[in-house]
Amino acid sequence: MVQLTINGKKVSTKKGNTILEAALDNNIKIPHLCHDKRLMPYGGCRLCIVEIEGRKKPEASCATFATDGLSVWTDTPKVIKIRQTVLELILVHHPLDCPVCDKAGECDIQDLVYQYGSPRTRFVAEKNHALPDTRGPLVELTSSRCVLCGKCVRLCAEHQGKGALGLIGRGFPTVVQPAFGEALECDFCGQCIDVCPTGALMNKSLKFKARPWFLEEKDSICSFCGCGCTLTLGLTDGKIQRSRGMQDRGVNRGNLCGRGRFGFDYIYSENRLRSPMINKGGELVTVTWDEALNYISDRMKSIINAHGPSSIGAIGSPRCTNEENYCFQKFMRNVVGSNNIDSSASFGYGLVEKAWHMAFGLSGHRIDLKYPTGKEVILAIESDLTVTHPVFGLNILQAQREGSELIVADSRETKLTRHSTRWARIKQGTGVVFLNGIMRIMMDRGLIDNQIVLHMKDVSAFEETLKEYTPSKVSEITGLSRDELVTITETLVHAKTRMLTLSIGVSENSKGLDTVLAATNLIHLLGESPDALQIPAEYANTFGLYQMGVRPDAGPAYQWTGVEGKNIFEMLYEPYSLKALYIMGADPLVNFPDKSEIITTLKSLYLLIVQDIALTETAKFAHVILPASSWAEKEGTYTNAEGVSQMLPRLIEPAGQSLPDWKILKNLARTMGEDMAVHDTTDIVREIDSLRVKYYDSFPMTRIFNPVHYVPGEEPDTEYPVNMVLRDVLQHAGSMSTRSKTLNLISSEALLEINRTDADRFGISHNGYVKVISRRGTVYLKAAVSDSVPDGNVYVPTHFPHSAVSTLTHQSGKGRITTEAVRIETA
Amino acid sequence: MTASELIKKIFFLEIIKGLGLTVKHFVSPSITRQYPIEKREPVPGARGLHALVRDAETGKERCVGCGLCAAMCPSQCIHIYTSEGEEHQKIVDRYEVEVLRCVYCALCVEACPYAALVLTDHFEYSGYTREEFYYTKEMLLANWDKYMSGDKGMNYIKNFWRPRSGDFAKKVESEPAEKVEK
Amino acid sequence: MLNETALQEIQELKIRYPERESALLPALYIAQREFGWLSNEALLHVANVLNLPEAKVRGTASFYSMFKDKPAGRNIVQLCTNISCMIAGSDGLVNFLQTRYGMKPDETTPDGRFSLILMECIGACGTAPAMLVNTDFHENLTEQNIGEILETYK
Repeated sequence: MVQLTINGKKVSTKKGNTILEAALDNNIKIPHLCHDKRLMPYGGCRLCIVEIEGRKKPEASCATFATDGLSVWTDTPKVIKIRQTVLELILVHHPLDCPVCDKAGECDIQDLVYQYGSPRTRFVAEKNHALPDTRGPLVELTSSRCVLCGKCVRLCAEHQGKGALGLIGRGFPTVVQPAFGEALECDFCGQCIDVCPTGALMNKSLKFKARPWFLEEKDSICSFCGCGCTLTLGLTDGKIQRSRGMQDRGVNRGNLCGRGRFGFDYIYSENRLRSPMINKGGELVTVTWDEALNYISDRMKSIINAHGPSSIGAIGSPRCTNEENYCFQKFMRNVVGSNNIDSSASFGYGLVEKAWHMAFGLSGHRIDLKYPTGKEVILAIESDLTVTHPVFGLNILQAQREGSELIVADSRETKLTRHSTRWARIKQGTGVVFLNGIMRIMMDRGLIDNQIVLHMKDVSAFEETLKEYTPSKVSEITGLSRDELVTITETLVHAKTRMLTLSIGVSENSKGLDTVLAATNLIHLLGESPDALQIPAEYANTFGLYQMGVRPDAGPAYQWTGVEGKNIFEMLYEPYSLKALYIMGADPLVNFPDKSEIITTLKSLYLLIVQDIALTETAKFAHVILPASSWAEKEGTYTNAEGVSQMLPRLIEPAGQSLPDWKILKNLARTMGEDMAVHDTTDIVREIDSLRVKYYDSFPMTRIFNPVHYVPGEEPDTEYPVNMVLRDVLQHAGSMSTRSKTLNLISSEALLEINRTDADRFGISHNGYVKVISRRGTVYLKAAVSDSVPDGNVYVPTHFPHSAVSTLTHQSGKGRITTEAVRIETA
Repeated sequence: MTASELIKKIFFLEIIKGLGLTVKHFVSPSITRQYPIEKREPVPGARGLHALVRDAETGKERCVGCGLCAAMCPSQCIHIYTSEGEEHQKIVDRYEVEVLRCVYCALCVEACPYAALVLTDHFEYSGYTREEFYYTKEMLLANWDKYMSGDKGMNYIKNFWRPRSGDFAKKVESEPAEKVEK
Repeated sequence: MLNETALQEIQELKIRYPERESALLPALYIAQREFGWLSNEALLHVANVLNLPEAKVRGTASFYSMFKDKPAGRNIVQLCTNISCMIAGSDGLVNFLQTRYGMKPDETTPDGRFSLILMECIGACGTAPAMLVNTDFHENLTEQNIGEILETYK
């Protein structure tokens, strides 16, 4: 700690902090425009100038380190005069179009001029009349308002690792713009909008819609990925107008990705369900709540009487709150009397939990978003965390900047590989071989952690299974040279602190349970604590949903329920195994693999209830559709991948007649003559809490090897010569985000990413439509010829309902790697 | 009781004095008016019904929709809805005043940087429903034409509410600009 | 596209510095040497080779006056027009160069022989007016000797 005096007040701050940071940490305000906590000192705006006793000239506090015994004065007449002059100079070219500038009211320059400036200026020059650049879809660039603080440029390059904006030119004509003045084409995280101190970079979806002083700001939690970022939402007239991140608020510390910033508007989609509907003779007819609930109740009772409760299944949702998922499983277990309840987590987080339990005997695998910081080596396996969990990804990038060795084993170029210190370009789906190869080398060279490994009983058996993964074989399968593998192994072994990470979910198919198990084995060999494995839960409440017992094998807080119910594979992919299915907030036909198989199952049902916020693809097959409220329209909690439960406040009125899911379940139970004993969310919370005390975290840790062998996905052959890999796109998470108008401006359909060589081979042009045929179906997609993907492989996202990628895919039923072999033809 | 007090009481001096005042007012000119038959010219700057200034050059409202009036309004009776126009300019779709909620403080007029809003001296308006007093943009512009026609409106603005935007919206005069260039 | 030797040079630069950004200026210099000027394609190429954001490369190239953003002549004439040179008659020289050689400020003669750039002070106020031709320094210029000097550059 460093002790210094600011304005006569003794303060202390962390070593290495600047004077400005020391002051801000101690609630002393020094005006600044170009400083941001996340960035390197820049010293561009000269507003943070202070006087330091014993130094001749005033110095910029953002670029001067705080040292012991400094005496700093921040508001002397001299300093104030300098600041006034600086502001006068900034305003020479700045157009005073505040009345039509959307930034007015929360504009840093405006506030500072109000505080310091005199309305008159001694410098007279022509104002900057540059017209706004309105070409981009989401970000509007008005260079005339720019004061060239460079915060956006530096944030984009340093923090986001993108570098889409640059300070182009020299002197007065300098502008902030993309490299060659083209329309902004970037990740659209919109972080530049938040940091801009003027109205130069603005959120286009908010343009001229609301003045900042009319926006009522409330915090809520993002409903997309598992990071659980805090969104600061601005509302006018009961409508959410914008979302932004506030510095140091929430687990995201003010960082947001494009989904959180722009994607919230899916709740205003025209596709929203506004009243219950019943399928009458092939047509969806709007009915009252009473009619819908009575219909369900009657049908369900007759099915239970005729076929027993085990003929009814249910699928929960990572988009619904903990309380709702709790009610859902309670409804299934207590009212219906069936353990047939599962969710999309079975394709992702469920596998991690399983592996976690198998390897360490633990449950409740959670990550720490800050974990990457300060780790010597970070190994990412076949994942781009900057896409699936952007804020976690940012922390990984930051760790890399601060000196961590970032090793990425991936088949395609991603943001993570671009920022990696070492990119091991393995073939898709060979993560298991790569990990086994590393472990074999460790075994051969005796680089294992003996203290831990020798205490484990099945070592020799495990070593035996690794025998076949000789470096030459690994090299042949993964395409990685032997030397590279050895270097990676050595780096990994010799590091003091390490982190292994990957993402796994229903929207990716090149990883599976095997990959996670191989990673746990590596953790054992390295003698690392289980925490070194950081696999985030995929969606907003996937973690919570699992805790709440939306799974066939255990109830809330891991209570064993006695009988294991049907899991999602048995429910969806085995036609006629169920008579009724209750789907809450999930769209299996879009998100889950093998669409045609699921359709067969859905058609075989006597009763399909779909409870969702929008008319999904699955809902079109439903007998009854129940409209649910979205995350902004109800209270509840989401538990993020860190295991942190966060409150969702009720912000807006529910759309149409929609009700929160728990209320629907409560009403349905009552219609069926049962009482769920819940009247409001506090009842549910109390009930959940009482369970948690008993069962939470009561497992002892063990260490067990789970040998895995490489089982490839569908192998390409002459008929289907190309591998198809499913990967997420940055702008979407799940399929709900595809209903957002703003996100659709950037990414509105599934693009088939294909290498140039393959494109030439199949005669495919960039942006041309192609026919993709797998053993299960055919779809038409737009092609994107890209150098970042390897040949012999194509990469597709699943999010888009109309692209119907799930027609092509299959599932293994065991959480295996399921890459597809496909044929590609020009359409 | 002194002698003088006694005399005052005997001769009703106080009452005569009072009656004298009454008689004086019988003959002096009257200061009340026979409203509504007899109407008084409103004083300049009187605060009456609202009007949106119609720009003489464009024929449209001067308002740019900055919302400062609405932000300033203590009774929150101004509602503004704006959107983006064809040429990316700001368009005021709706400008509405709930006249019955207004307290005629004229803070809105004072806040307006473009002198786009005035309170006319028209104060006689009544109706049978609340809805009649929900003034839309078109009604407010019509008020300007009706009550502030000719030089009247501009004089009003010039004499009372010179907007501050005049300070910064001024075009740079040619002379100093040339000096700067060289 | 840069040729093999130039690429090799840039690769060596990359190793020399701890940060890729540090190699940017010399790499741009190599690109300018190869192409004569820095076109957008050349900048993109440098960005790809160094794995840096395009905006960063363009920003750097547009900041330094030594990097040309349009084709230049074989010889670059940089004439000082700051106060000392102006008093000593550099304005007249600019006119002279235009009438005699058809050189206009910031433009290249049609035959590609000269490009004229009006410079800020080059530190020769005592011997004004002064100019740089490529990297050669010339002072005490008059309408007579400037012609003779320029004749030596073909």
